[in-house]
Order: sequence, then structure tokens, then C-alpha cells
Amino acid sequence: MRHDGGLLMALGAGLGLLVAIWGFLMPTQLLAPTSATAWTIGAAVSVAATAVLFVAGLVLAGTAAPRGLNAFLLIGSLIGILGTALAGCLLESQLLVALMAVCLVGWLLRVLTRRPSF
Amino acid sequence: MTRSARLAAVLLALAAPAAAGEGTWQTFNGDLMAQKFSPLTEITPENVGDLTMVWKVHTGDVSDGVHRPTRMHGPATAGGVVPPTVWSATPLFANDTLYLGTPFYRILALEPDTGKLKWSYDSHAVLEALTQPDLKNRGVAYWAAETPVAGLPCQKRIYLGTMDAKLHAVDADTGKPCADFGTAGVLDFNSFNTSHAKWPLSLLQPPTVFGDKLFVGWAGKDWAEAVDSPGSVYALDARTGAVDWTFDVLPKDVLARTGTANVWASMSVDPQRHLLYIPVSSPSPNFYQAAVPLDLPIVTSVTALDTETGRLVWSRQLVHHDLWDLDTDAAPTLVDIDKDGAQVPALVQSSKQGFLYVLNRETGEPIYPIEERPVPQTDVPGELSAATQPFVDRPARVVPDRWPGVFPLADWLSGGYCTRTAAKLRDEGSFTPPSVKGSITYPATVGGTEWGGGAVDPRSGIYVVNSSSVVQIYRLIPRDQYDDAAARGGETGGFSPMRGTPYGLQLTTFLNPIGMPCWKPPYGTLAAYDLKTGERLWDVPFGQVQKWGFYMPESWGSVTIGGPVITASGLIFAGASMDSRVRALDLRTGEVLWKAPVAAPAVALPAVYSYQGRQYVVFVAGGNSILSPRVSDEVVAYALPR
Repeated sequence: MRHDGGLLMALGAGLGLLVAIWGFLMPTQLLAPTSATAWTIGAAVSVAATAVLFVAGLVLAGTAAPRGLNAFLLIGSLIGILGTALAGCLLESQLLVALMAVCLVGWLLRVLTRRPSF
Repeated sequence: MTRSARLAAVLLALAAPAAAGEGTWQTFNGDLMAQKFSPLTEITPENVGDLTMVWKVHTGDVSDGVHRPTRMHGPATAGGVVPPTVWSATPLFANDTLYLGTPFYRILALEPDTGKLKWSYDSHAVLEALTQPDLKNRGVAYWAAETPVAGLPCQKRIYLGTMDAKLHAVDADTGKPCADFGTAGVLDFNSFNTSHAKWPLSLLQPPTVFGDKLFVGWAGKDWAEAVDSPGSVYALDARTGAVDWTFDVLPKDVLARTGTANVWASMSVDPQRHLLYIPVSSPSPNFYQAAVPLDLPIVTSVTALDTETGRLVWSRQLVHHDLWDLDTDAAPTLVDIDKDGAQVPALVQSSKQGFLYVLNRETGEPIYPIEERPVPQTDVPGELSAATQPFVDRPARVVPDRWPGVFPLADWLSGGYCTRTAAKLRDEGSFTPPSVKGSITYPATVGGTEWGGGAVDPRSGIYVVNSSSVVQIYRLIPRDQYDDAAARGGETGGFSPMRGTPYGLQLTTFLNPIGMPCWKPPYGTLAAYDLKTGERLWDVPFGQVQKWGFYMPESWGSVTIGGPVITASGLIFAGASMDSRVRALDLRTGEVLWKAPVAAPAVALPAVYSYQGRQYVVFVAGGNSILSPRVSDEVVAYALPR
């Protein structure tokens, strides 16, 4: 049993994590060669945020989480998605912003589609 | 002057790099007239987007002031840690070679198309903050004999100055010292430091070379003492280093009361008129001048001297009785402009106070009016302030006349800190004097236009200049309280001791507690002016602030240090921004057409040159502690793909 919305969120966040790690380690952002954020606090925060979102997406993809945890993860994920998208804007990583849009779609699916898929 | 001497002078003038012709970049400003204009046209607004990095070099001469540098040159200080580096060297392209000075005071000669090292010269300078808080270098100077003697060395020379006041001359082909210059290739410039010498006469700005003369100014510490070394400019023989003439800025009768008023920035030369233009700084101490006569001439001025004799031709004071450290800080740009049907020999002097003074460079008379206006008066006991200051309405000031006001976002994020602080300070507009309660100062000492100055397209008379909009607070601290206050911050914390006066000064940038500017953006702009009319053609936020990796909105711009260069194809190249990126802009509109990241803010003027039929643009990305703690030793060359 799984929630497609949660999986989509985990997928967006997982790819976002790879993009964020690239931005933290490499001289320029992926697909944004004029933006340099390596070894900066901002890039590190984006790595941490996408990692947390990835885990949250996986948890939300399942149905085993208690109701309270689910609510907490949904609210926290929304804040995380919007905050990471803002960070992506300020880090000039359009790819990260786009992947956060994917996460947001997943989040909406997770919220609006109550019944899990089998 | 005899007829033969006059003929020789004319020949020398013709040989001098009055303009950056034939694709060279032989001086700090590209050419003697400080136009920063390249006639090259291979890179255009249409193809500049294709510009790619063709080589990159790391010199190893860099320090963050905390860690031991990986490569050490010269005597190390205790523990091997040296002060942070501020590298603002314009690369020179001459003699088919790219020459660089470094903040560890080495000369590097590079192949212009690959960056490969040809030779290096180590001055073994002391790497200590003797006069500046950082190790600074703004590059080297190049000289070539008009009639070289075959087989003899040093017919072409590179000159490098050091923080410890040594001027080195080496052969431009080999890097070997020129034995006939000074003592075995080194002139002890501090031997001229004979009056109130409290620190060495640091040579951070390369000499200006014209004919067989080197024009040399120096840098000191005009914030530390009331009385110190008096500002003088020296003309030296390019071959021997012997003094040809000296121009003393300060009259002898004030030397017991003040000092400096030195020339620490670059100078320009009119080769046809044999005039040297010097930007003269303010006298010491920077912020309290009770002992300095109100009517002291030449200080804080642009001044013209005869290149042959050092005779004063004219001088125009730009700030009277300077209480704000508004040193004239850049070489004036010389250009002939069409005005009312006649061609006028003009100069444009940029300034920290944000005014652009457009003068007739033969006479010093204003081409656009300069008006004396009443200004706020000091309330500090014993201090004096000038009743009026010179104002220019046209061309428009590069920054607003008054500080832009509290930035609501910064105020909100700090719970109203900005508004509360501003309400407690003295704020009466331009030239509000320093005070004990604290004065809002705008533009302040790091505002307006810094030492990079402006650039001009001499064909159209379009002048381009970058600027910074920075609000600072000047607070005088009574002597009996100063030591305790300064112990918490030191000179790098914005404290100026001004020993020998009743006050020290704390200079702080007006930030909220989380480090955000309390004033409205933009923090820096780039603007273009039509010198024929004085009209401002465009004015755009320039650069971006990058904090913790986050880029702030483009509309906020960035504080800028360094300056622009212009190419004949209609491009502007500039680093200067806090976000460690270099840019190309459209001269017609100010639109950014290309940008690339570099390792640190590129605060040096770039060099534009042509080698073997290919146009290169080279940036030194060294950083500057005023902008950002990010420093580097990177040199990057860009060209169109082959």
C-alpha cells in the first residue's frame, strides 16, 4: 500500500537532494553555470532540507504513520517545500525550484487523494 | 626648455600610450588618459554571450589572515600567518607579455594566450600590515626605452612597489633586477620619509610612467595620527630612480599640525600638454581637523602639474576642510568633448562624494557649473567646518543627495532597530559633520565612486561609472573613553585613534543586528552619461549581494569596488561586485549580456588586449575585505571560442 503523492514528493525531493549536493560541492550550480554556491551555508541548508523532505515523502507514501505524525509531516513538508523553493530561487538554481514544484504537486496529491493506491 | 629638449619631449609623448591602441593595455588605467577604452571590436554585444574561459591561473599569493598561506614569499610573521590580502592589480599587457603584481609583492610574467609562467620575481618584501590592515597591491608599471640599445638589459622594465616602501625595477624580458636603478634594482622610497615619519611610505599603487619619468605617490595611515608624513609626489628617472622633481602638497608652515594629503590613487597624463593630473587626498587626521587651516589649498583636490618641472599649473579643491575622509581617489579621465560646436579638452573627476566634476583640463575651470552651497556646521568644541562646499547638479550625482531612508524590510526584521537608531543620530544631509552623538554620513568614505574611477568612449563622449550607496555612522569618542571603546574593536573594527587630538572616531556601517543594511537599496549602480550634454543616459543597479550563498535580488545591486572598461564594439566589462561575478554589459542600455563566476570579488580593473589576432579580457579576482571576506589568487582570461 502506498500514496502516489508521497512517492512523487519523495522523487522530487530525492532528485532535489542530488541537485543540492551538486550545488554544495561543485563550482557552479547544475544547469546554472553563472551561479556559484559551493561550500556555502545556503547550499548546505538546501542539502539538509531536501534530505528531510525525501524522508518525509517516503513516510507519507506509506500508510503506517499515525494520524498525528501524518499531520505534522504534511505541515512540515509544505513549509519545507516552500522554503527550499525560496532557497532555490536565492541560490539561482532553477532546477531545484522546479523539483520543489514537483514536490508540491506530490504534496497536493497526498492531501487531496485520501485513499492509498494498492 | 631648449629646442632639442622640446623635440625629445614631443617624441616621447607620441611614443607614450595615450590611448590603449593596437590592443595593448600598458598602464593601470589602460592608457595614460585613464579612459579605460580599448579599440578592439572582435567581442561584440552580439557574440559576447559565447565568451568562454581560455585559461585560469592561481598565483598562490593569497591570505585570509587566519590560515598560513600554502605558498609563502618573503619573511614570515610569527606563526607564519600573514594579514589578509586585497588584490586589485590591473594586469598589464605589453611586450607580448601579461604582467601582474601580487599582494605578496611578486611580479609574474605570463604568456598572454595560455597564462603559462614566463618568469617571476620575488621582492622578498615584509608581509606585515605596516600601513594598511591588509596586504594590498594594485599592480605593476611598464616602461620601454624610446631608443633601446641592442644587447643591453633593462631596455624594457617592470616596476613594483611594496608595503615596506621599496620600489623594484626588473628587466621586462627576464625578470632580473636592473642594476642601474636605485641600489641593485631597488630604490628605498622611505629614504624620502624625513618629516614626522611614523610608518613607511607604502607603494601600493604602481607608478605612472610617462616618457622617461616615473610619477610616484604613496599610501599611509591618515586615521592614526594628527601629524604624520606630508604628502608629496615624486618624479623619478625611470632608469636610475634619481629624483627629478618633487611636488609638496602641504606648505611647510602646517607640517607641525597635520600631514598626509598624499596621492595614493592612480594619476593621468595629457601627453600633448605635458600635464600630470593628481588626485590629492585629505590631510590628517581624517575626521577631526581643528588644527588644519580652513583655507588650506590643494588638499582633497584634483591638481594639474607640469610633467617636466612639477610646477603647479592649477588645482581645484573638491571638498573644503574635509572631515569625512573624502579623499580624491581616482585618476581623472581625460577626454575631448564637443561642446557648443567647439572641442573642449576636458577631464572628468569622479569622487567619493558622488559628484562628477567635468573641468577644462587646461585651466581647471568647470565645464558644467560647480556651486558653493551652505552646509551643516560642526557642533564639536574646538572643531572648524567650512561654511560652504562645492556641489554639482550636472552631470547628476551618482548617488542620491540624501541617504535613501530606512529600508522597511531591514527595519521589520530587526524589530524597528533601524528607525530607532536613525532617530538618535545627527542627520542634516550632505556634509553633516562627525559628532559625539553620531552622524549619518552619506555618501561616506566607502561611498560614491572608489579608486576604479570611470571609463569613457572618446569617440562618443559616453562616460560610464560605477558607484556605491553606503550609509555610515561617524561617532567621535572623547579621548578618555576612546581606548576602552577601541579595545573592543581595533582599527579593523572601524576605530580611528587620531592620536594627538581630543577625539578618536568610530566609523560603523549602518546595519541592523543581523547584518542587513538599514538603508534602501540599490547599494550600487552603474550609470552612463553623455559628456556633451551632461545628461545621464541610464542608471541601473549593478551586481548582486551574495550572503551565505544566497543571491539577493538584482534590483538591490551591490557595493562596488573597482571600475569598468569600455570596448569600441560597445561593451562594458566590469567585476567590482560583491557576488564574485564578472560581467559584460551593453554600453547603449546597461543591460547585462554575459556574466561568469570567479573565485572572489574581482575588484581590479580588467585588461582588454589582442594577441595573435585574438581578443582577450582578463580579470584578477582577488577580493577586498570591505566587500567580503572571500579572497583569492585567481586570474581568469576569457575569449571567444576558436
